[in-house]
Amino acid sequence: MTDKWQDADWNLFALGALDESTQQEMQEHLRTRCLACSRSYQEAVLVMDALAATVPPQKPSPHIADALLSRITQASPLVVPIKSKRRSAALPWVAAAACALLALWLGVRLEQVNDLLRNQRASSAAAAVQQPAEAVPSPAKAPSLVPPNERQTSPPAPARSNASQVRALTAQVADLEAQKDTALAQLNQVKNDLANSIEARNSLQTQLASAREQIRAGATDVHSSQAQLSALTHRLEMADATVAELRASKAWNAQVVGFLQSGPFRQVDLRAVDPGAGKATAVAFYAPDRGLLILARALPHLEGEKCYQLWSIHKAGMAIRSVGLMKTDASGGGFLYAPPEQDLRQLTALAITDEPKGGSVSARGHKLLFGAFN
Amino acid sequence: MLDRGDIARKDRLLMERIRRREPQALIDVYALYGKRVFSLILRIVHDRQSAEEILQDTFLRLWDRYEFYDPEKGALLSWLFRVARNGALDFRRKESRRGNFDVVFIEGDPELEDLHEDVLSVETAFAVRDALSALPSAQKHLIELAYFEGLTHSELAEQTGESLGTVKSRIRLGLKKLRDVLGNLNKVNLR
Repeated sequence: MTDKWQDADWNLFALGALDESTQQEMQEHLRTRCLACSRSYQEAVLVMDALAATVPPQKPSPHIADALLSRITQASPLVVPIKSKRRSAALPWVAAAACALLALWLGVRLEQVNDLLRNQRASSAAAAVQQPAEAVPSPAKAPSLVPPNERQTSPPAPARSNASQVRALTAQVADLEAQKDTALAQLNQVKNDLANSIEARNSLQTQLASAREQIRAGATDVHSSQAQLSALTHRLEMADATVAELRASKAWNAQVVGFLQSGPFRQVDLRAVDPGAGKATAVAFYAPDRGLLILARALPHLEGEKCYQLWSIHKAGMAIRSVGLMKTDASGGGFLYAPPEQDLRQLTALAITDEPKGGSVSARGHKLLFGAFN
Repeated sequence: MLDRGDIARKDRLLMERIRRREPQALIDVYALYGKRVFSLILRIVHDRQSAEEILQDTFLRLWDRYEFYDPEKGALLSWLFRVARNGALDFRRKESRRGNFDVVFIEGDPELEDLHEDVLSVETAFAVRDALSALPSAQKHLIELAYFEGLTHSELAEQTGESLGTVKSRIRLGLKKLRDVLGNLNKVNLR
């Protein structure tokens, strides 16, 4: 053994508690095949193994062996791969409801921009009587998702008649249409996923019934049949859970679509008022008889045990009340629905703050986004 | 109870079959060591679903990269423990950064007789457990934090509020005592 490192050092090396440079230096030394140090290190590893052995024994799920076998034989997996906790952090129904809301919101925006564009064209045409205007391609008219006579969104801004503004509005229309198409495609994906999941679950039910029949008839080896039965039951449970989750997602979509299509609502954009909000934006829709819907995008990941909380600000005494905690997904999307039962009378503004996990009774975190109703 | 020689022979045979790409060999290794490895992973990540994912990854790594295991350098269980611990600590660090880490208390499996079926010597396991319990609580706590939470000296000092020197000295002393206990045992059944 070198004079530099003793048994105690190799203990620490095996524990992994040393700083990175020392750990690397000792690793390099082991590669020189120094016999004494290698022996000392191996003895230290025994201490670590013994520490591992002090952990109370736990049994993994019985399907793991089957799953391993399936994965190494490249066969179709007996067991649906376990969904990672990290991936499941983005609740599908949150994402889907957000997609539905986004699609509808973009539809409303599209209609507003189209109105502006029509006004601009009319002004340009009037001006062209005296001076020929630059040719502008005619954008396709986007279908409105909200009846025009019932919309109470912000009125169009006064039009400035010049060709560059018409070009900018045309580009904006194209961009909004593309975004809306993407959101609708994602929404359709949820519907397809649901159909596929139901089909997969039905097929599993058939396989399970067949496996049970084989066991009853004594047609197969009992041990392997029982293993197969157990794996199929597990897959069926997971398929049922997926179907339930996607059905909830579909129900939320229907609720969101119903919200925006069933009558007038007030709309407000929430904008970042704190550097901590990054590029986050949000839009909220409120109708006293249907409640409040809010959709946020690009919310920064919150460090530590924190969450996003929505607050309503009311005219009477400017009271501030908690609306609830935003449901968020891994891509920075946020969503919240407050039913009409929640008292939101004389609502004048909304704010999103960061609060400790579980939320606060009164707003104490950073005010990140804010928007006032007109 | 198997002794070190028996275990080494068994490991060699299993690895030979894995080299020959016999899928059942991996399942046999899993049947032998899976529970032990799983218990360690679960102790570190505190979440069954994630622990089972890491467990599968650990055994698939043995299948895919069997040449990285050198029987001359230690027992197969040692190698699996090391891969599993690294995987679990890596997962834990990522979850910690995301703020998703919830610590939950994990109870032991009531079927303690399983220990007797295990390749790990009951005598060794109990001796180390006793030795660990007999350590001054500060030493025990630091060793457990370093091993199961993957904290370095500096992180331990920061977390416990002790000086770096104190942390180092306590861990050194504690590990020395554990090593002495192992050295005094006539048979260590890990190898």
